[in-house]
Amino acid sequence: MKNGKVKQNRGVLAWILLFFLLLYSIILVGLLVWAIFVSLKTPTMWDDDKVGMPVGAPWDWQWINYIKVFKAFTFVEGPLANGSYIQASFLTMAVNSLLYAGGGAFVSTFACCIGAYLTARYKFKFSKVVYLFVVIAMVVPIIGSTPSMLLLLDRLGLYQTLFSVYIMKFNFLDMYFLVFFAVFDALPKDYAEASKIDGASEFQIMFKIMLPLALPTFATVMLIKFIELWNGYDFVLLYLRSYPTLSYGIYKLQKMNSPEMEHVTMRISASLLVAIPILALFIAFRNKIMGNVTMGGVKE
Amino acid sequence: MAKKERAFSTERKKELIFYCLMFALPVLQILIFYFYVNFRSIALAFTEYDVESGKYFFVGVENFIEIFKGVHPKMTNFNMNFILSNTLLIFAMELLFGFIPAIFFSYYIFKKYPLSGVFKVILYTPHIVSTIIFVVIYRNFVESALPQISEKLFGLEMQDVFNQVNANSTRFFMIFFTIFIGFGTRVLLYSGAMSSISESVIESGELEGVKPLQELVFIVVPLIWGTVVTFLVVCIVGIFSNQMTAYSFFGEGLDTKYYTFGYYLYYRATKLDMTEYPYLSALGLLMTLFAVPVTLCARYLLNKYGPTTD
Repeated sequence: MKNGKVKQNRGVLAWILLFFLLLYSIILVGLLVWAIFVSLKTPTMWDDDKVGMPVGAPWDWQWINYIKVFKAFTFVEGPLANGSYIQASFLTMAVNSLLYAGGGAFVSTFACCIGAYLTARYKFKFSKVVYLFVVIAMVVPIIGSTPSMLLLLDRLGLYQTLFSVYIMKFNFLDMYFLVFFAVFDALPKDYAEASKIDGASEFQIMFKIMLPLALPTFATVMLIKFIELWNGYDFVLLYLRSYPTLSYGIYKLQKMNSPEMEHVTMRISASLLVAIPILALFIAFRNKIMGNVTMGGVKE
Repeated sequence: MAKKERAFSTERKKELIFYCLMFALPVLQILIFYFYVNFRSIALAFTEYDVESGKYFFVGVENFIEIFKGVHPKMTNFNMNFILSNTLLIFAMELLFGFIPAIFFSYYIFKKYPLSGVFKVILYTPHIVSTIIFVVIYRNFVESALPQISEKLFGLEMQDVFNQVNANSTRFFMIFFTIFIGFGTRVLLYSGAMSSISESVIESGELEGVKPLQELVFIVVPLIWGTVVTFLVVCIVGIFSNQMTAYSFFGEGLDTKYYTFGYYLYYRATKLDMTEYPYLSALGLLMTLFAVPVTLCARYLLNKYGPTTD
């Protein structure tokens, strides 16, 4: 025993796990480093050597590939049923990504937060029903309702609109409902009671007192949702093709016949360029994202 | 007294009005986008689309019978044998090589063994970087760089390993990728759950000379069993829906022999073909009818017969 602590007996298991984790890390980091090297090569360098570093000193590498991608990466899809084409530049896709991921993450987090606040604070019977329903909806899978959703959106005239995405995301049937519920349930009721005595309305209590107390959780959940939406392309492909996002653009890029973007070096440069904002966000908030997530949800 | 009661009831009324007003929109959203959509989906499963009138008409259980036959004449490239075997194969592989190692990796991080902080970040990276970005990098690596590496290092020739011609290698590289990028969330949540285990429990085990493997199996896993069960249930729920890897790699060009339920449902829905909607809904309903009892049973059995802390 040392300093009151039991000396760790690591044993063979630790060494075996260390081996596999090192192997995993080498493959993952190796893949990313390889991708960076490829993105900095000329097509000729790539044809000569598909594994190694780009030829020459680092300052001579093709950093310009990233600028070329920024200028040349254009999304084109069509012709559509009406004969038109969907076109979007890199910048337009970036704006679409921001509107989709930012807006979607906000409304989704807001819905969970509001639903959880009302359920946790007001002990009406309906609150119990809502809580139970959220748990059941999370456990019971419902598969294959996409066609029905598409028909509904079409009938409402909302198909392929950002508004429809926001409406669809304004839903509290989500794991994060339980996270917010735990937060609001644990908050002392005295704050609300004191404000009530001071004459605050229910609305003021909610928006000026209780929600600000849950702001750190709100920010973390929104950040996690933002990353998820930014990275995903499946939802956009189904419901929002008219607003191609960067991730959808990368998916399409694999099948696109564009002379400027056809080469592997350019495709990988484009992929890395799209990853940069999210990686920057992750580096800036990694403790918040990684440290606060537990099975119960978000730890304060 | 009566005045007090009146004030209380007015207060309660105000609360109720506020509660109803604030809940109105979220509840309306769920009524339309959850209840209506799912009930409409059930109804759609019993219909067929008439192109001329542009309407759906009732056909009873015909769609289900056709699906059970295995090859539906009106469902493009539908082959139940391929779809079912691929789906189950991926699920089994993910369970064996993804789910169990994740518990071991989490244990390594929980015990704060060397480099555990670095491994935690590395394991989580695929969750941060978009899957489609990893798909582009991984596919190009396997198709272009890996053959060069294998020839230089081992003198092995690797050709057409990932272009669907060679079924075994294509399947291997797809499943490997799915497992490889799937560790992040699991490890983070398991290690999060493990971190809530009391230090005294671990220390008393260590004092009694418990070895790391025994500690993991007999102390740590039983204490985080709730989290493990939740993840297993999520894994089972995902059998029929979360299989987007194939779509990311091959889009619509995937060969029928690699189809899974998740891929098929998603791919056909993206075609926006109204004539296919009833069949997709019927397939979805069948899977739901299968998945619900399986999920609930698995949850019940895992909780009843899983390890205990005794």
